[in-house]
Amino acid sequence: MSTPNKVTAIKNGPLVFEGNFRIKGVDGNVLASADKVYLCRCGKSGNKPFCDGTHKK
Amino acid sequence: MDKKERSYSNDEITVHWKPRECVHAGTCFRELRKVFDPSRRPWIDLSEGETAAIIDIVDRCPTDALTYDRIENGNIEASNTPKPSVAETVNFSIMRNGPILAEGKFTIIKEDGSEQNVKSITSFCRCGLSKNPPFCDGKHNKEGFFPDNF
Repeated sequence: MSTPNKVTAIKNGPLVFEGNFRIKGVDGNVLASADKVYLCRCGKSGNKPFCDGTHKK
Repeated sequence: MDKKERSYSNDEITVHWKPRECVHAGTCFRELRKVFDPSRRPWIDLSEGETAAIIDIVDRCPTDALTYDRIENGNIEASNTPKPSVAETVNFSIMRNGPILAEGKFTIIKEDGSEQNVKSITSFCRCGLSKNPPFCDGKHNKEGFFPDNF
């Protein structure tokens, strides 16, 4: 059974992608197609586009 | 018609600009800056590029923010270039020095717990500066957000 595709904006935190998705990087290469991924939305992550928790500091 | 909508013409085409449709993917100004320059007013100047190159960029705008009509024998003919349809998988594209472009059907759960359904396309802020989070409002262009210039 497929789960509905969902994007959650965590308060003062990252975007969480859940479901059937594909993430392409700036060069068009596929970075991830996992079930759940955390993406940076504060601009400060050292591992963009993914969240690395830097927003808490 | 929205008061902010604009149309620009050369001898061959008219390009229509609908700012409300823009999701700030940035393909236009990144790839054809001479024609599409957000820091200039008016920001579109068709005299700065070849018509074929302008059409290519307009066709690659992910929304109907940029569309065009051909002018033939003084008459306007619609371009009939529908934007690509959306597949079941949601595609997220990281735009260089810009937002996350999202294409597909999904539900957004915002910080306050409210839900919003997206049917085709939207863009998410990646710089932390948007006044309308989690969506992009183009603010990264004004403030300078260059994480991908490597």
